[in-house]
Amino acid sequence: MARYIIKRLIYAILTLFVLITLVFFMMRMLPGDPFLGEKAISATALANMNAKYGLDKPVFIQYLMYMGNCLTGDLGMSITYNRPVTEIVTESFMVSADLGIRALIFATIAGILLGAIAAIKRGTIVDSLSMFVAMIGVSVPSFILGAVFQYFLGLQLRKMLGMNIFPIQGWGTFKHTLLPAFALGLGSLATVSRLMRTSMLDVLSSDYIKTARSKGLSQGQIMWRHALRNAVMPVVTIMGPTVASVLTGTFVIESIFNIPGLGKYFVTSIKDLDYTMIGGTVVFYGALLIICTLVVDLLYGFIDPRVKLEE
Amino acid sequence: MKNRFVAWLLCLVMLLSVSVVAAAEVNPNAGLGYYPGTSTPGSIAIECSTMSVMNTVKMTYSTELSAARHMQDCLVKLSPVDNQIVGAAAESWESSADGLTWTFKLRPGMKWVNNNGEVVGDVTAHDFVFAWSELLNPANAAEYYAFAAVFKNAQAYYDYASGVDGAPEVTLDQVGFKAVDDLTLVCELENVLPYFLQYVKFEVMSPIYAPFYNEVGADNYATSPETMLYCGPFYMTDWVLENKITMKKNPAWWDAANVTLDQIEWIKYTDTNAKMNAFQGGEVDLIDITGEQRAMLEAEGFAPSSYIGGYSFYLYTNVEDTARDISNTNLRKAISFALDREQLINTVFKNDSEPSPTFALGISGVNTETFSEAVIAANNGERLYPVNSDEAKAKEYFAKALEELGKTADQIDITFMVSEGTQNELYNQVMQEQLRKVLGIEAKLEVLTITEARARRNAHNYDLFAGGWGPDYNDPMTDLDLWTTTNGNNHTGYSSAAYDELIEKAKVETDMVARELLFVECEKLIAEDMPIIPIYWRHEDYVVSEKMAEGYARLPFQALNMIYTKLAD
Amino acid sequence: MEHIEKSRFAHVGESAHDREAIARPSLTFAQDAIRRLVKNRVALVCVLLIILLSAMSAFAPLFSPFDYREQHYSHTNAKMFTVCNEEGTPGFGHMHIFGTDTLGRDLYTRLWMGGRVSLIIAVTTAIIDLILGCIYGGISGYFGGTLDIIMMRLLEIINGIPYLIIVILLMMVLEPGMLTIIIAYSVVGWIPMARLVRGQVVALKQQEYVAAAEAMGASPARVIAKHLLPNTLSVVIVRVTLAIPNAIFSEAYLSYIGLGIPLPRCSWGSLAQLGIQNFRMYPWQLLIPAVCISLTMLAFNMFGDGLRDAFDPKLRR
Repeated sequence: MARYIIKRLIYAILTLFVLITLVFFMMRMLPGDPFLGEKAISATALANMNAKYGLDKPVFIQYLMYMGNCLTGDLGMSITYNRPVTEIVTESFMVSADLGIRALIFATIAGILLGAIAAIKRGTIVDSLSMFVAMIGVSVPSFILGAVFQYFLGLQLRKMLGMNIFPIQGWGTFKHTLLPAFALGLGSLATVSRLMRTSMLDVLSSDYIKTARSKGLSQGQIMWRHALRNAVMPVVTIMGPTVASVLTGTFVIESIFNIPGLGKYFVTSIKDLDYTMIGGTVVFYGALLIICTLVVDLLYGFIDPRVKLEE
Repeated sequence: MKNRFVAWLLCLVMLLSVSVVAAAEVNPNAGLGYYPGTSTPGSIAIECSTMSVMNTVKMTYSTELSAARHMQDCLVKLSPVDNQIVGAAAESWESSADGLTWTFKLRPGMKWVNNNGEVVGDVTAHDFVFAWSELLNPANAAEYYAFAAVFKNAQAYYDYASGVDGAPEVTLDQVGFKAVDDLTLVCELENVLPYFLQYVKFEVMSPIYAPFYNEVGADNYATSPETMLYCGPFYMTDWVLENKITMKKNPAWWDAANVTLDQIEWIKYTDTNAKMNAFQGGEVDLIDITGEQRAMLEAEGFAPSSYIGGYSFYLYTNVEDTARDISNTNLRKAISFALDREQLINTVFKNDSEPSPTFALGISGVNTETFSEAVIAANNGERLYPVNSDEAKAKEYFAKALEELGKTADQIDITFMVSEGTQNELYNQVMQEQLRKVLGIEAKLEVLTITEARARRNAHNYDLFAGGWGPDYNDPMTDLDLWTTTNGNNHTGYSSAAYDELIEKAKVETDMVARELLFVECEKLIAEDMPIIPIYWRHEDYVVSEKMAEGYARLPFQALNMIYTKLAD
Repeated sequence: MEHIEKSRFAHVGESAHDREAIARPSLTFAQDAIRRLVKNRVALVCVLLIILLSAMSAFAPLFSPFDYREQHYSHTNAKMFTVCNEEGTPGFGHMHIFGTDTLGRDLYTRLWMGGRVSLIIAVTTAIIDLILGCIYGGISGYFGGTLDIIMMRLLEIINGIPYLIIVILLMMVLEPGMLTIIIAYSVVGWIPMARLVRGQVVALKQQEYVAAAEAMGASPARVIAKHLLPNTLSVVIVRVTLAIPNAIFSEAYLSYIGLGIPLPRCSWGSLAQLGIQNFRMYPWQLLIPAVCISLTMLAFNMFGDGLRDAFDPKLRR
């Protein structure tokens, strides 16, 4: 086990290294330069700015310097914001992660429950209802979902009741997290519950459940000890990357609800061609993604007795 | 069985949602029309856009400059009442007879405060000298350094300090600004500049308190409320990057007695529905709105406001690359006459924006109220560009163009380069369709990110690109020197000896009437050679809650001035 | 005890050949699946719905008096069933069934034009997802070991590169159009599928029937294709049906950043995106494309359920 983890960690560092290298050179191929404003700047000013951010050196030298700085944990100064990338990323990640965790807790618990219940009560109204809820989340894109929630639950409800139940936008109090977490969670909920239902159906028709039944175990025991543990497996598989992407925030939900999260920087940094910021977000997201998949792989071993971790 | 049920259920919910939406629209609180605004007493929340830099030396965006207007005092500023120059940090000023030397007397007793409103030091003439030197410091790579380059020897110093090859040595104390004593500032200019005060009012020319700046370091300065000092009507208490800035009233400001606001929150929105919801729900007091939102509010009986920021919009055309069809002048004229500017505005913007009669907007004339009126008067009272599509003229020029190009209409190859954004895409689609209808040209649209579009625009790798220009100071020069051969913002490749000569003459002409005539000739030359196709003058719509009674201003050169806002009781 | 009619049994005689013969016709896997699919009436209705949407998309614009790009400035944002009053245009006197959009373009025509784009993209990308994901995930999961680790790390790397960068770079190389969108989506779209299949295969390969197949000398390709993948089908089909709306929305996102279908053409996603801007005033501009997306989604999902039941070997009776 320890050996496996160490091996995976070494691979993780290698993966991150390749990822940073690839992105570094890819972003240099993007058209334009970071100082393109609406109004032109003089050649001297441009040269001064390039010198300030070290962009006047050959790209390969810049790459070596960047990698060197990364090793010491220095992701550089953001070109757009004139402040350390690490500072911006950590500050906004706290917000996105806060929201993301709430959304994930909601999506996972509700999704697994909905999916399991639907499978157990297959073909009944309960099944249909659960799957209908699941389908809303996936058949309506988040930009519609967010806007509709905000309008009906935020604005219209407030007008109707004359009191402020769900704030329309902003960040800071518990109330502010409700609508965005719900809107964000619905998307993942659909995937989780649909997958959960199918894999639960598979499990329920398998021999060991029949065996357990014939042993005389109670329905609760069968579900808990045998069915759920095995059925949750495919769900866990896709959760790894989902966790990473939900925790790092989403552009759409953040812009609708005006949340100071990390999600927008993934988009704006590329549009502004803020090289250091692109690098920072990629390093951060990449690391998180790799950790999440590692955790998922480790979890396999615990959840599914059939899976052996390869040494 | 189960599936059929789901289907019915889904249909039911769809029907329900249709009726709910419909119901909500039939009766949108009819007759209410009342938006009381935010609930915190003495405080307003207003919409802003990008707020990434608060160091005045490094600012570029219009809203950043607006924020600076509320936190720092330049020597002079624009009055929110009539947009004229009034004293700010300077109490009085005078210029020498040759217009090259300006002496400013500073207001005594002005203070620097920190983010808790505590007085840290006095504002002196040295603070201006320091700020302007920082503007000229190559290490800061200030984009707007050119505003400080008007002083004597300033450009030479900047080039030398930047290490430009062959630049002669110039030291900072040779540059034309000096603090004679704590309250006297003397400026020497390189050339005569009739609109020099318009330069000094620009927010990047704000003072900076040197001891504090050096203490926190140039890179850290103004990256948070704690790392900057304030000498204006408000000071910053909180800053969530790309989200919200909170400012409180500065009691130590010289005119604090006339400021009734306690607090301003600047909120950045990226979603148009979200800000309208926030406005109607009382979470923000002032937002910019779209034409559709304006119609919606008007239907409720609530009147939106509108202002002219001085922005003129036009199509850049690539006149330089002769391999492109668009380099043909008659084709460009045909396009200009084919476009129905009024229809375009009514369809896309649905507001009071005007079809451009001339190019420059928001500039005062010498004997007329606006410069544009002078141009029209000189053109026998006729506008340079039509309001509606003039099919006869368009076809006439088009026939000429086809003959010159040796092509038929369907062989004409034109692409609109479009920077992303819903409204911008709609705007270009209307022009595309109008060309198809009137001239039978199948123009293409190519949507790009703003950075890529700018890169290609600057590299002259496009046919047509919709852009706009807002004036930096109140003089036709700010708009018209754009189309000289050497101007960095002339992305059309237009190079006319006649035009360049007119601008050079205007630079040295001291008789204001003769000078204006030169500019009028420039406008006519643009219409003749058509390096740009002027489309519309923008009017921007916004709404304010009933909380904000009066005293605020939205004018050219000061997009937001909330300093003297009076609140309703 | 149920009474069994004696006449149903007959003596076949002593011939070994007769005794071993299978009385009912033997069905291949595919025949069996199709037989069960056809029996599933709901799935059939869904197929019909998909065919209907596709047929409308293919033919409705041909018979519409309006052109999808023609702008009617006199009645922008018109309500449903507004009659076109612009004289001199081919559509004069005809009805805008779904109203017009903010530029006065006929929404009925645009809806079906958009349907062409959205449906083709959805189906093609889902198929590409399925093929790439199954092959990649199957190989990675079955062989395991270092190969698996490297293949999975490769996925992480592709996943870690910001999508926008990939798209903008693709945009520089390719002409905007349907093919580009399909490529742009396919570059990353298959990754969740590969991960899912691999996860399933890792668990399944410990099963006895895999060991049995291997013992009988089946090649890895055969084991993966014939034994492992069919058993992952149920989960895979769910994922594919989820990938279809994903593809539709991702096209909307791509058109937002310029790699979408060249303007003024449209898709359901871009119609919905335009509709959301004004949904408070003109709700039908959002609802109509949104309902089409939901219907497609629903039909594919329920059809997917039918497929799952038909193809799942464990449910084979």
